[in-house]
Amino acid sequence: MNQVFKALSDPTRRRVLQLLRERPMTAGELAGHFGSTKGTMSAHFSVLREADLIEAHKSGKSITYSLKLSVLEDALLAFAETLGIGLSPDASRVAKAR
Amino acid sequence: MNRYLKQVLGGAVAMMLIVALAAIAWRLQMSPEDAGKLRPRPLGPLILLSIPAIFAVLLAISARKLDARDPEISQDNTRHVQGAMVFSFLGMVACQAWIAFMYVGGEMPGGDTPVRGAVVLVGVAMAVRGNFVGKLSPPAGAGSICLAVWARAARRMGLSLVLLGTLLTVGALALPLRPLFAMLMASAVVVVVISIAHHAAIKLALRTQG
Repeated sequence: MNQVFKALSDPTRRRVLQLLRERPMTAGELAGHFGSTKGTMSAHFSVLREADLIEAHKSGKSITYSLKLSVLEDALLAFAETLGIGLSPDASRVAKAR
Repeated sequence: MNRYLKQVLGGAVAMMLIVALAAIAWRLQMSPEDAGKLRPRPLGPLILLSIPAIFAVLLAISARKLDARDPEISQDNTRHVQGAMVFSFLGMVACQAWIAFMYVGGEMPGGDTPVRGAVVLVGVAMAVRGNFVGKLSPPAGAGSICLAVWARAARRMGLSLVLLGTLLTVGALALPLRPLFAMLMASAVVVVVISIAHHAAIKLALRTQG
C-alpha cells in the first residue's frame, strides 16, 4: 500500500493515470502531454508499474500502458486529486477551489 | 477449469439436488394431519428444484467460457472467477439447506440472525471482489481498442459490484427480511446482467479489432 501512496502523491503520476482513464496510450503519447524528459517519464511509469496501478503491453517496438486501478485506489486517486497532494501551495489552493 | 474444481462444483450441485429431493420426499410422506400443521408452501418444490438446475446450467456455461480460446481470458481473471464460483456454490448449498429446512417446517435457531449474517457475508464478498475487478488482466491478444473497452468495462463492473455489495451489507443490517430477500434476488439479476454486458463488450471489441 505504501507504494500506492507514493505513486499517488505525485501530480505528474496522477495526471498520467487521469490520461489513461480515457484510453490506453503508448509511452510516447503520454510523454507528449508533459514537458519532462524521457528518462523522468520512464521513472514515473516505473513507479506506477511497481505500485501495480498501470500495466504495460508490448506490441512491436512500442509499449502501451493501460490502467489497472482497484475501486479503492480509484477513490484514493480522486481524494489525492481533490486535496492537491504534492502540488505547490498555490497550485494546491487552485485545485481545492476547483 | 480443471477437473478437480469441476468435481467440487458438480458435487455442490448434486448436494443441492439431494437436499431438494429429500425435503420434497419428507413432506410428501407426511400424514395429512401433520402436513396440515405446516405452513402451505406451494412454490417450495419449484424453488428447491430450480436452484440446482440454475447452478448446473451456470456451471456448464462457465466451464465452457473459461476453457474458451476466443476470447481467451487471462489467468488471474480465471482464478478470480473460479474463486467467486466456489464461494457462491458452497454458499448456495448452505442457503438450499436453509430453504429445505424451512420447507419441512423447521425453525431456525437464533431467529433471522444467521440469514442476516449470510447476506452480510455475501455483500462483503461482492464488494471485495468488485474492488479487484479493475486489477484483472485483459484477454490474451487484446489490441488497443480491446484494452480501452476492457479497462472501462472492468472499472464500471468493479464499481457496480462494490456499490451493490455495500448496499446488501447495509440492507442486511437494516431491512426487514422480505425486502432483504427481494434485494438479494435483484442483486443477483444485476450481477448477471453486468457480467453479460461486460462479456459482450469485450467480444465486440475483439471482433472490431479483427
